[in-house]
Amino acid sequence: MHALEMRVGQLRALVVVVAEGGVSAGARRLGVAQPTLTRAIQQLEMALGSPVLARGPGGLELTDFGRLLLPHAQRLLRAHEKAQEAASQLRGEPHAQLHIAASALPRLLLLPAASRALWAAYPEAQLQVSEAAYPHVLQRLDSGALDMAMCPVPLSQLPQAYEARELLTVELAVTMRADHPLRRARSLADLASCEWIAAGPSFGQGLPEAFARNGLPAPSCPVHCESLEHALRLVGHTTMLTLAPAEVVRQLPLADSLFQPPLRDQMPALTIVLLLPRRRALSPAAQTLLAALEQTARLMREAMR
Amino acid sequence: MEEMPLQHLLALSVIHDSGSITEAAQRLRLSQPALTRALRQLETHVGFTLFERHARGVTLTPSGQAFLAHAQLVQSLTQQTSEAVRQWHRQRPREVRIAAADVPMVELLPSALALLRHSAPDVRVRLMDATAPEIMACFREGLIDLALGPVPPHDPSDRLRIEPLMDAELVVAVAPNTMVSDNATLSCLRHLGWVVQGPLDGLPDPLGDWFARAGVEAPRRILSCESASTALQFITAEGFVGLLPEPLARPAQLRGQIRVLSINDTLPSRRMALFYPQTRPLDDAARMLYSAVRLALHHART
Repeated sequence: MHALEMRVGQLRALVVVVAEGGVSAGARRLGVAQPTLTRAIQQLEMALGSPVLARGPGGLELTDFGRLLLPHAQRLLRAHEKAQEAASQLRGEPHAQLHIAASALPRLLLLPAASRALWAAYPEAQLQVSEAAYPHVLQRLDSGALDMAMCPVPLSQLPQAYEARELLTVELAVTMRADHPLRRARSLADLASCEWIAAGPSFGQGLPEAFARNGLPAPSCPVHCESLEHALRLVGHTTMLTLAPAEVVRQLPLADSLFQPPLRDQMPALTIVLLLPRRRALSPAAQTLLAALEQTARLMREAMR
Repeated sequence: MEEMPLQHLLALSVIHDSGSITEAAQRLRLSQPALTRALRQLETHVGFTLFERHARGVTLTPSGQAFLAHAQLVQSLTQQTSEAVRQWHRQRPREVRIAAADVPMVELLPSALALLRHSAPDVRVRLMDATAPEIMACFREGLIDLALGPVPPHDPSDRLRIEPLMDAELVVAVAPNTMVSDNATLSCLRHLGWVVQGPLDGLPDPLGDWFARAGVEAPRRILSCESASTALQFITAEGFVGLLPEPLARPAQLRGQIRVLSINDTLPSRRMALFYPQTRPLDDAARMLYSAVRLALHHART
């Protein structure tokens, strides 16, 4: 058994056969003959000393060993693809494939300016942005599917394998429908009997703490919503309330239907961090985007001061 | 374009760590020219120079420096995979039990076992000495995992999965001093005694079929035996004509113990197969041997 003898093509054979659900479909996708693909898998098995696929009642299946190996293979393949892409960028080619995840606040406030810097340097860059919710993003960062993520993170719980860089801290404000019957409320106590949505940032945390800090029992919180935008959409159509940064609410198309009453209580703050796996290899294009995001955040922090 | 091999990316990272090609080659257990060649190939792949060469070693170019993290990530992921694989094997002792006939024994098993020893050193191999009829009993009793040998006679109740491996050519051999010419015809050979090596149970009779096709009456005195050494003994000591697979005749021919005749009529061949019961799928260890046999066959052909 000598993992160092693995070849990229063999790892790809495994990953593609599994993804396509069979050798013939895999061979079609890779444009190779079926026996070639079968042999690549056999060679991988010989390199690693155990079968990875077996014929089961429902067709070709991963063995237990195959199940152990697959995520390693996917990670290695991805790292290899990224290495090729980085080499092409270092040769001065304009292509780049970036995949990041961001929660509403950084997506609305930081990304527009930062992505302009990316496209100025890499005019043909393809940028994918998906929703970021902690802790789901960690797994995608670890597998290499994401280059970086931006979202609120409970830093005390963040595993060692990730690095967090603070980008922006904003205050959360109570957000309600513009024509909410309690729009004249001036303290959390006035709103204690309302139903709340725990959303994105306040997910399970900020909300009860804000009430506790002001000497109030935790409010009724029947709905949990991962995405802040979904929560705000609900808020616009119900009498439920949520906590959201004014900076985000202002940017949304439904801003006019929402209202943030000025309360005298101290409200929780929300810190957005940029998450990176400690063990990483960022392409030059990804480094450009990273630098631009940090620069945009710095300018915004100065403007808010 | 060919893909950038993982090994080249590891080489980059090790050269950087050791600061000199010589030391890196030692660490990677490669010759210095081999490592230099790998580095040059990697530089062709990425399209820029990775290292500046100095009198006292090498340093990364700026592009090489920017690329280094990618090589290091690949190195660390490869090590992580190795460790996971090693741990997996440490936890599971494995054994494969096979029956092999003489031809696959000499033609395929030596290289297949070498591949297996290299790939899966933890797998213990038990070679069983069983031939056709016994093999089925061994399968039924779960004594062997798979068999290599002549395609067994068709019997649906056995429910075998049979995969053809190779056709073993049969040759006609005589003792060196036998008074027949190298291109003797079947009709002049039919007066001698014949020894036919091969499985005895229910398989087609190659000798009878062959003579019948050639329109020649079959020889009278025929000894059929399963063992190659018995066949060779009858050829060399008793003056028999032998019909036996070429791979088994070859060593005796090389040692001058027998003479292989060049018979004009197309000689029969014997199809060798790998087979095992459909009802009992191969386990991990058996699958490894199976793959090793397949790869050995592929290497033998190319």
